[in-house]
Amino acid sequence: MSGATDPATTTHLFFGPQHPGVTGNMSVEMWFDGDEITRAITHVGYLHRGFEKLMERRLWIQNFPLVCRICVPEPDINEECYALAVEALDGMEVPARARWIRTLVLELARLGVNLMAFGGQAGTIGLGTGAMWGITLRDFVLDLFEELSGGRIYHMYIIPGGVRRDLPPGFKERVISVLETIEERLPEFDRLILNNSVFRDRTVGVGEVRPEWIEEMGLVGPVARGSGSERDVRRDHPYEAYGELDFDVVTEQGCDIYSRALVRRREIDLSISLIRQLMEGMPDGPVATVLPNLTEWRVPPGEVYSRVESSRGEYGYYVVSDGGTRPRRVHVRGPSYVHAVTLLERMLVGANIADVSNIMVSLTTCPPEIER
Amino acid sequence: MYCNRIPDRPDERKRVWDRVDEMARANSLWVTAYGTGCGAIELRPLHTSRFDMERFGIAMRPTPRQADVLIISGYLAVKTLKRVIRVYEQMQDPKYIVALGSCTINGGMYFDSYNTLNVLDRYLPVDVYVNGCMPRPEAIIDGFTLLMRKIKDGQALGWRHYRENLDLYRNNQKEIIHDWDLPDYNW
Amino acid sequence: MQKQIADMIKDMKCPFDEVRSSRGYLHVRVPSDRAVEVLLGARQRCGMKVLQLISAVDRIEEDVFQLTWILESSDDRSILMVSADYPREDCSVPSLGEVWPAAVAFERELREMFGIRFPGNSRQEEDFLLEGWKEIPPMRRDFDTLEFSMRTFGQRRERTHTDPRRYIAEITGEWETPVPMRKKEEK
Repeated sequence: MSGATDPATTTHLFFGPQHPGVTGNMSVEMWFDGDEITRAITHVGYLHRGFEKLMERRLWIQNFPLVCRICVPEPDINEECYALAVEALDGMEVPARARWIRTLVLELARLGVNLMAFGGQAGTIGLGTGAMWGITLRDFVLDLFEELSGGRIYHMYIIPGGVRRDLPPGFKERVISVLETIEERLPEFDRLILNNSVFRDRTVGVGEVRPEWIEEMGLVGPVARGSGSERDVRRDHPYEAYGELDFDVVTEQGCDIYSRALVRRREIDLSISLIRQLMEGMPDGPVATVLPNLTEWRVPPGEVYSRVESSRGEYGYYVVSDGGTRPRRVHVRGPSYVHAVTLLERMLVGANIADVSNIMVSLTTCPPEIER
Repeated sequence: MYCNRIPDRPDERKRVWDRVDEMARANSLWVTAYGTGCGAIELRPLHTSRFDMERFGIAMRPTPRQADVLIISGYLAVKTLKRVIRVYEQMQDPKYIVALGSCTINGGMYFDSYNTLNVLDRYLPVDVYVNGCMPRPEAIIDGFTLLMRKIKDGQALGWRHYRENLDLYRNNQKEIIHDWDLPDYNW
Repeated sequence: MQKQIADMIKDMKCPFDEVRSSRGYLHVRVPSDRAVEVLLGARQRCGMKVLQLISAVDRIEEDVFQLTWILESSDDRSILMVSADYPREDCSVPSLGEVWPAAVAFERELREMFGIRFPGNSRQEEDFLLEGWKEIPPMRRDFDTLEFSMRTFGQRRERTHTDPRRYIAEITGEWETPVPMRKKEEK
């Protein structure tokens, strides 16, 4: 488009990696005319570590600590997707209690991220209190994780064949008490953010994701569910214990930032109800299958594509094995790949420059999963 | 107006007023808000009232012109190093660097990656290392108290080392950054 | 759904073989000159409207790149994977950027990581993840990443390896491992 970047009428600005309004380490190069953006290009690659090459050099089991670190706020989803792929290639059976514990860990991680994201949406319009409350509530969940696996952020708890160790005694009571603490504070959180007229003015009608873009670009997660779609891998292709739980897919019709924030808020409620169901109905039994000698474990040759639903959308892992002790090729497809590169460049055209940060946070783009 | 050489500085420890200066600096360290890597996720709980870094006088500033400390939270890709050098040179003296995580010490778990640095010390002067993967908020506060003690003793002189040995650092940086377009250092 | 796609490919008179098939999941391998035709046919006739991923595997021992397109159906969310082999020298694959906008980003990454060209993609030459990269495309099997990292970035101290058997032998004076290795499970 020659008119969009004409130096006589447009200003060229780099909304760079060092900025408090950018989610993670990503930059957007913009041209704008007055207050309205005419063209935007996303630059990624600031966090590229070459994961896929590193994974080809390590044993199958040594990849678990590495795979954690692809998505920083929610690392369990990566371990789960990789474990599903490896188990599908190897033909392993996972015992029932391990499946339920894995679902519990995934839902707790999703709860933590949604609390932080819901508060973070308020933080971008200047309501710092909302951001602080979100992070504080997430700390309760991180304490539970520390008791369960030893680390606050990176757990490395899910291994092929099950989980590393059983729940500690008294864990169920502590989980229920954390859920009650969070539920006590949620009404005030709502009153601060959703009933706020400034928040509504700045988010209703802003950052529209049209429903026809969902199929054209392959949008997933709350970005698609905020525009009326009902895509959720937990319901379409149930994995782990989701087939035995009772829940509805959360969806809104508004297509703007406000509806995406509402979707995340209602997913907090959904996670709390799922965790309660999991703690009620957890079966007994072993927590892992017996694994062979892990330094010489050879996975049979084959290719598989496994999918899970993270708080941001659908995660996919394409794993290729040629019968050796190390993977042949692992390709990680995060939901932000399409959201941050293709969708953001299209959404920012015509937007106000003050809304760029709002829009980026409402898509919850996470740069490490684009560039691994 | 450009300076052509490093300005002369008198021997700092002889002036009495510098002790007060250092105490003032140590008790109000302002940090540039730049999350360069994984470790940035543990910087947000530091704001909250559970770990509360404001009681030490530490605050986050959006622009490097108003900050004293740059936190390098984890690994650095070569593309990010170029931006970090630009941010570091925009900060005003005296300035400090705190490096979090084991990736800055010897490469960490990405020691064989083709895009991340192994030894941060060659490219930027580091004052305090906090190890862990990733360090807890309490460990970061511990690192900051060590930095404050070093400042009060007059030992945190990474910025002076960078000025005086700029050509050494520049050689190392230009070795790995191939499309160099940063301006010359202006004292 | 599997039957519908198999019928469609048979109608095109295209030879294919099935790699893996399960509930809502089908993976086929087709000759390289018919791959784009099969993909566009699946999009128009079988409702596979969403492109999830374009991936490549470097099969250096057979001197080909195996490209895999992963499509998803918009009705029942089932997956179709289409694989085709392209020669490794001067690899050039038709681009699908006009049909699916997300393919533009996937193809940029493959060009950077493997060196596969996609004529028809308007944003091919822009840098996607690496900046100022001078070596061969890094994801190829003949690129040694450990050697590159040690040569370019170095390390602080030489890595030392400790074999637990030798360490135990020094303490207890025996060469045998005290704990017997677990027998490999029969599958």
